[in-house]
Amino acid sequence: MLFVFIGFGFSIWAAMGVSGLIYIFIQGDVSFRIVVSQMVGGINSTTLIAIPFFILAGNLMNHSGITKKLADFGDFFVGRFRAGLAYVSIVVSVIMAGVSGSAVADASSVSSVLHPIMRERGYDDTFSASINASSAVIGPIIPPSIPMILIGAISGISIGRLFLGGVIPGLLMGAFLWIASTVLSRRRGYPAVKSEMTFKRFAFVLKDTFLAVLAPAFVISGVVFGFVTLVEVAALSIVYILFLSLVVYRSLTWKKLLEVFKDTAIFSSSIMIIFAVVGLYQYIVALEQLGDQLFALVEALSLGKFGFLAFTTVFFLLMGCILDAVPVMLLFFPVLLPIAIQLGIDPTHFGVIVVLNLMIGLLTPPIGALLFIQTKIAGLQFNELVRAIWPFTLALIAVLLLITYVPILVLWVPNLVF
Amino acid sequence: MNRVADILDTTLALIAGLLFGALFLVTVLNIVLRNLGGIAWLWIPGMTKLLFIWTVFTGAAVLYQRHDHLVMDFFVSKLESSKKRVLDIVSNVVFLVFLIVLIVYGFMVVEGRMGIPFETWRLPTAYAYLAAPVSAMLMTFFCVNKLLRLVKGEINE
Amino acid sequence: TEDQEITIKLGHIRDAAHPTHMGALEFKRLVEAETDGRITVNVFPNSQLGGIQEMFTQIRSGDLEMVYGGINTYGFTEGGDAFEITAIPFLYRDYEHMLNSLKADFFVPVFEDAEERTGIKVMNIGGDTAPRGLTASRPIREPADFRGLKIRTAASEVVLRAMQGLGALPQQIAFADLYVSLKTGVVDAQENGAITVVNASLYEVQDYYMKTDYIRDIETFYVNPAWWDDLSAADQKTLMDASDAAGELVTELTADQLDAALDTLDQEITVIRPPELNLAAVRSELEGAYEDWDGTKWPAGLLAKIRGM
Ligand code: NA
Ligand code: NA
Repeated sequence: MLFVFIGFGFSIWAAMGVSGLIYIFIQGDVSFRIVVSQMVGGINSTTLIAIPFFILAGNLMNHSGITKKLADFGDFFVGRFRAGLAYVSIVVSVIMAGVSGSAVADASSVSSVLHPIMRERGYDDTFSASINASSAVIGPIIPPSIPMILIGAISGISIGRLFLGGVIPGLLMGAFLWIASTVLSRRRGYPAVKSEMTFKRFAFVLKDTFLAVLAPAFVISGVVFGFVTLVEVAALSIVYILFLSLVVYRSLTWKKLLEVFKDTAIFSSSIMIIFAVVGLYQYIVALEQLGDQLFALVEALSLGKFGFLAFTTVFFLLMGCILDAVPVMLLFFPVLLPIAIQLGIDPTHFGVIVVLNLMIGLLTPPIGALLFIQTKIAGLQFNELVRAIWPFTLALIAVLLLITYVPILVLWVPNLVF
Repeated sequence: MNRVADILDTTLALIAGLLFGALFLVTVLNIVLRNLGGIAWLWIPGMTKLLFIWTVFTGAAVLYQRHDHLVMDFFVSKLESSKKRVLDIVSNVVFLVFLIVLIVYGFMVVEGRMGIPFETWRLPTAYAYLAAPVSAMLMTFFCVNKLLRLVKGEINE
Repeated sequence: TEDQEITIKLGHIRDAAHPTHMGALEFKRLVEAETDGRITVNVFPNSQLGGIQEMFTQIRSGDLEMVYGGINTYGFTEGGDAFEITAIPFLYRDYEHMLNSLKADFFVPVFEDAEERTGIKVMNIGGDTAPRGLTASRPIREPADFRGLKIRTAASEVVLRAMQGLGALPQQIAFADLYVSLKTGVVDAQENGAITVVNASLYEVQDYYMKTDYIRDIETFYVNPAWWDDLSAADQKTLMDASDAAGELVTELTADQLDAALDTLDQEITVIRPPELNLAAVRSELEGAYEDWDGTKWPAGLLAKIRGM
C-alpha cells in the first residue's frame, strides 16, 4: 500500500503517514491520537539533534569555501596523476567524511565544486558523476555518521563504537574506488596533468588549507577523547567552522549565515519528518508483532551465522533498491539485531554492515538519492548514469563482503579505544 | 490567497531558521556553562527538544508549500498532464483528510500532554506536541490553496 | 460477561533479558492457562509502544490496557506527585520495608487520590527491583566526596535534590550516550543498579561501585480504571493472582541477577560497601531536604509514617 501512495506522487512522509493512518483505521482498536503522539515521539530525542548539526557543518563548509580549499589540498597531492581528479574526489570525500555525516550532503558539496573542474580537464560527465556519487558513500561510513546515529538511537548500541567501526571500512572504500578509477581511466586514456610540486607551492597550499583540513581531525578527536556528547561534538565543530569562515577567511557574511541556517533547518526537516512517521510505523510494527514474524521466518530457515549475514546483505540491498535508506533502517534493523546477537554477531559489526549496505543502496536504481543528485549536477540522463556507475558500485559491494566476513576490520578500532 | 501563501512561506522559513539558530546557541551555552562554570541548567535538555520539534514541523510546512519533500515520482512523471491533474487533485484531497486528522487528534494529544512535564523542566510537554497540529493547520492552508489552483487549472507542472 | 474474549496489550520499557520481561511473560502464561486462552496477553517489551510517559497517556485514553513498571514513575505524572516519595534516596531500609509501607492502611487514600487525578489505576504492586547504587571514577565514602562530582542522574526531582544537597553537579545525558560520556569524562559518575552497570559494561569505564542501595522501586501493574471496572470479578481475581505470581518471580530473578552482577563487579572494579561507605553521615547531611514537600506534594506526615515503620 505504501508503494501505491509513493508511486502516485505523494512525498515519502505523506505516503507513510496516510498509509499508517489507514492501517490504524482498519485495525480499529486504537485511536488516531496514536498517529500524532507517535509522530512527535519519533523525533522527541536529544540524540537526533546531532543530525541537523552535522548537515549544518557540511553546508557551512560549502558556503564558506572550505570545501573548495579541501579540493585544492587534494589537487596539490594527487591531481597530477592520470585519474588525478578522481583521486581528488576520493580524498576530499574522505576528509569531508570526517565532518559531515550524510552521503547526500557530501555528494552535493563535493560534486558542485569538482564537477566543473573535471569537465574542464576532459573527463566524461558520466565518469565524473559516477566517481563523485560513489565516493560520497564514504561520508556516512567514516565518523561522524548520521545513519549510525540513527541506528545507535533506536538500538542502544554505543554510537562511539559504531563510529569507530566505520574508520577502516571507510578507508577501504577509498582504496577500492581508487583502484576502480585507475583501471577505468587508463582504459579511457585520460590525460595526466603536469603540476609543479615545489616546496614553495606546498607551503602556500598548506598555509591556505591547514586550518580547513584540521576541521575533521577536530570532530574525530571530539568523539574519541572529547569532553562532550555527540550533539555537542557537532555543535563545537560548527563553532570551529564559523570561526574559520567569519574570522579567519572572512568568507561568510552574517546575512549569508542566516540563509544557511534557514536552508539547513528546512532541508533537515525533510529527513526528520520521515523519522517522525517512522515513529508511527514502529508502533504498527510492534502492534502487528512483525518482528516476531520475521524472527520466526529467519529461525525456520536456520541459516547459521554466515547464512544469516548473507540473508541480511541481500535483504538490505534489495530494500535499498526500492526504498530510501532511513525508513528501511528504522523499520528492520531493530527486528534483525536480536537475531544477530543470538547468533553471536557483534552488534557494532552488524550495525556497520547494515549502514554500508544501505548507503550502497543510494547508488542503485530505481530509487537512489545519490543518482538523483548527480544527474542534476552533471545534467545527465538517469539511465546514462546507471550504466556508467556499476564498476564503482561493484567495488563498494566488494568492500561490503570483505567487512561482512572479516569482522576484525570493523571491530579492531572500537575494541582498541573502548 | 496566493500572496498570503507566499508571505507565509517566507515568514515560516525565517522562523525555522531562527528556531534552529536558537537550538544551536542553547547547545553551545550548555557546553560553556558546564565546562567553564560547572553549572548545569536542567531546563536545557527539555528546551533543546522543544526547539528541535518546532524546527522540524515548521520546516515540514515550508517544504510542503515548496514541493520540496523527498518524493519518488517515477510513475506520475510519465503521465500526460490532464491525467496528472486529476491524480494531483485526488492525492491532495486524500492528504487533506490526513491533515485534518492530525489537527483534530493533535489537539487531543496536546490536551493530554498538559499533564506531562519535561523530565527536568516544569513545562508541560504539550507545548512540544502542539507543533504537530499547528504545522498541520499551516499545511491545510497551503493544501486548500493548491487545490483551488488545480481546480481552476492555474498549476500545470 | 463471563465468556467475553479479551485481548490485553501489556507494555514495558525493559529488554527481553530483564526480570520485568520474565515477570510479564509469567503473567501472560498464567492468565492464558487459567482462562484457556479466552484472555490473551500480548507483551510489548523495550518501549515498543512508547516510553513510560507515552504508555501512561495511552492507558489514560484507553489505547493500552496495561503497563508493567516501577512505582517510582507513577510520581512523574501530573496528579501522581505523591508517589515521588517512593523515589526518595535512603528512605527505605529494604524491599520489605518499602512493600509494607505501600500496602499499609495509611497509603490507601494516597492510591485512591492518585487514581482519581491521573486516570491510571494501580492494579497491584509486588516484585523487587535492583536498588540503585553509584559508580564513579573516584571512591566515595563520605558526604564530602560528593562535592563537585559531575554525575549523570535519572531525571527525577527528588534525586536531583539529593545530589545538589550533597554538592554534586547532576547532569542529564541520554542512556545511549552514557558509556561514551563516562569514557571521555563528560561526567565522572552515574547512578544505576549493579545489574545495569554490568549489562551496559559501565564497569569498563568506571573504577568504583558504591553499594548505596539508596533508591528502591517495586514492580507495579497499571491499568485503565474504567476498563478494570468492566471486567468480571472472576477475571479480576485471575489477573490479580497472576500478577502476584509474576511479582514473586521477579523478586527471585532479581536476587539471582544481583548476586551475579555483584560478583562480576567485585572482580572487575572496587566495590565500596557500608560501613566503609558512611551512609549514616549521608543520611544526616540530607536530613530535612524533603520536609517542605510534606503536606504539599504528599499528605502531611506521610514521610514520618514511612520512617516509623
Ligand atoms: Na562522516
Ligand atoms: Na537504491
